[in-house]
Amino acid sequence: MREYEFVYVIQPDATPEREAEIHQRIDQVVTDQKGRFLLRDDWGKRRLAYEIKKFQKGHYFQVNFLGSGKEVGEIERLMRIDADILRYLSVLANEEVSDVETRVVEAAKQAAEQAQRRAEREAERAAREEREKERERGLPVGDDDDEEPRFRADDEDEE
Amino acid sequence: MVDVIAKRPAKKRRRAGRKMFSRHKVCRFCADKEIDIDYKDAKTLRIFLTERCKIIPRRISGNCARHQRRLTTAIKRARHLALVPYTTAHV
Repeated sequence: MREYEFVYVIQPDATPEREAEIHQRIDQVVTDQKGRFLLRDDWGKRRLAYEIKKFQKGHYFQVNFLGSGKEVGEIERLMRIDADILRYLSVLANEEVSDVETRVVEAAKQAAEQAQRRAEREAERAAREEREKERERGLPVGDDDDEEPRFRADDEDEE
Repeated sequence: MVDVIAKRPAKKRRRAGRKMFSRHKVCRFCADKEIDIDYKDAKTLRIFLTERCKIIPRRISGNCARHQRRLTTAIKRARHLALVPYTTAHV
């Protein structure tokens, strides 16, 4: 089987239910085509490098799955239809995964690691926001709370 | 053979009184096997973009052909996902 990596960006104002619905649809396609779901990674809401449909931010998700290749077209078709999807990208991550079960176990491990990193990042961000608020209280507040360096790496892993 | 060709313009330049820059550049990805090229890693990709967000050519960055090729695809993928800009914002 082949391993595919699929990244999609949901518009930032979408409700968690709406997001869940999109995830569910993708998973549905994978199971329908007898593929194997590997992992889903939530990258969080990130600032877009450029505006898309007037949105400055986007909620990034990555999903990995094993399949024959038939899934990709179907998922992409769904993504095109969905108005809440800002961007999507499918990449062939591994041409030939011979040992499916091992990969499934490995992916579960990977997912756990990602979840942990995400939690750390989340905590760090909360702390930073707290600090910022603290500072704002001392200083006159700027006109826009979104004022951050253009290419900041906010939601990325910075230690 | 190759050396002779490479040296000639440098000599000319020196005569013209300009500084000569010739340092052997090593492909960063070959030198450090640890870093792999990933379209999701916007921070690393940014290193290979100019201020105007153009891809830095091989002749400047010193990357080898193989890695430059991978790098450009990675950057283009990242651009599509808005992880890295196509260009600086027009004001």
